[in-house]
Amino acid sequence: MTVKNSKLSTVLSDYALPFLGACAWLILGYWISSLLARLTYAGLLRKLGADKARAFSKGVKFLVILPFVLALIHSTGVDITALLGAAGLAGVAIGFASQTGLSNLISGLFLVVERPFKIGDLIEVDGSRGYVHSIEMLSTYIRAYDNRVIRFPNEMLAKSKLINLTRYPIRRIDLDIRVACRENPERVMTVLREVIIANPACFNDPEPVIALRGLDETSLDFLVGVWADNQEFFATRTSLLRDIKVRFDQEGIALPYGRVAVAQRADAVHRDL
Amino acid sequence: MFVIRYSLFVLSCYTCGMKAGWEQYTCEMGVTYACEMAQLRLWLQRTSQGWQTAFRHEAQEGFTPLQVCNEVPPDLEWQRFVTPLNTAAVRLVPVLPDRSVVSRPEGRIEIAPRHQGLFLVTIPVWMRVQTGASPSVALGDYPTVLLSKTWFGHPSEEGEIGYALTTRARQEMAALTDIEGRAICPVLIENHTDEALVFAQLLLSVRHMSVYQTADGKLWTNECNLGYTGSVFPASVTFGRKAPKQARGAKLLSGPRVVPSGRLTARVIAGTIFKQPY
Repeated sequence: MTVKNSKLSTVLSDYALPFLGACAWLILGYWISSLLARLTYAGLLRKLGADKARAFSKGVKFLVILPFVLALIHSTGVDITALLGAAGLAGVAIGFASQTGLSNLISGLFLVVERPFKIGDLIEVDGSRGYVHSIEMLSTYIRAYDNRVIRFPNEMLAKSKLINLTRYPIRRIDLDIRVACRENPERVMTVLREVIIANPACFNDPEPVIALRGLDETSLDFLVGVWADNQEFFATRTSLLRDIKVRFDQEGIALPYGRVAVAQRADAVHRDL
Repeated sequence: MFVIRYSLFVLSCYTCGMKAGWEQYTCEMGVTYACEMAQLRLWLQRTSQGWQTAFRHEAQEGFTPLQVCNEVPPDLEWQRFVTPLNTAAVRLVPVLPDRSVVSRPEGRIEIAPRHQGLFLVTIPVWMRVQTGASPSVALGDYPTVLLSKTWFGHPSEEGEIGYALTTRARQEMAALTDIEGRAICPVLIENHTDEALVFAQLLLSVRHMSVYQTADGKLWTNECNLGYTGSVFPASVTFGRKAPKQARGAKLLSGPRVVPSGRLTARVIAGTIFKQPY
């Protein structure tokens, strides 16, 4: 009984108490690292933007908590040096085995440094369009218009054609306006110009573009390019289309309609089916 | 009480040729009041828990002070404000637009080398509806004229979204007409270079300006001084700290939306304050 008690006290004094102490240090370390990460994020947010600040804060958190984790492992009696050596070998093996992950990681770093987009931007990749929700180490999350979340591996974003629709504060609204081919092009262009001028959301500088782009047997095709505030893009586009339709109705300008020309051959034979 | 105040106000306004003014009114609960200021039509009603307002813009300009409205349009979209119960007073305050104004003179303007010119630009004010006193509660800022938005700068470089304003950029006070609902902004442009300064547009950071009113009812902003030192250098911009010398004795009606900061102003508008014709 005495021997058992002495063994228990030895285990307690050699392993359990240092382990508990290291656990306490780990909790403290986690708290400190979280605090420093938050301070780093807050300090860098205005200078670097949300995505870079988040990357830096995660780096700070990792670096601060690492010694506490090592102390915890050391307290259990594991030789850290040997563990690090083994981790190095294992890292090489894992690295070979996870090239895709590594590629995503490096691509993520490039995205943070090159900064083709930032959190909140509206981007289009591979036919999908949405707002950048978060830029993680391996992937980027995009929130689509219908509130679906799309995950793009960072490697794909680095390789694909990416369109940032909100990079600049202003954006051109391009409308294809078709009217019946019997309409007078000059009159139609005058009406379009008046509609644009009357809409306060349409910029007068850069000047709007109104051009006759094509004509065929049914319609005259106009390009209407109007600059607007990027944040009001869709509202302006909708109001402009509505104004054009209302004004066309007032002016009696007809929209094109599909026509089918039917010709009857003189030698056609009529048969009852 | 309201009738007396209103009568005195109308009398004082008509004696100086102004049809609408910026005053404090006392409103009865449950009664709808309305006013017109340029294109703005504003309806106002005091409720048991605060206020409610409605507005719309009309193409035709009108100027009518706040008064009891007996025929309220049925399709108004009312916006409700819950405010302290003891506020029966409402004040209409002129404020400047919430974005910069891009002033486009009707004709080409050229300033000779090492010379300066004073231009009077009239800016349509917004109507701020305030209730209560210290601290007052703003029930909203309403543009009296709907100005189109525009871009000042290159589309893919530094620039600013502002309101487009066509101005005659008068140089004589007597030439200013139709200034009802507009604040006169004296802009002093100094050309510090050895070349003539030709410009087609001018960016006025009206967020940094205050609105003053003279005894004759005219609205003024503080003076804006623009110094041009060449296309590659930032233009220096300074704002007067009180009413301009043309408006001596004017009282302050509203302060700037953003208190001017020399460093910030220079950075934001660096190099693009004057836009060359193209």
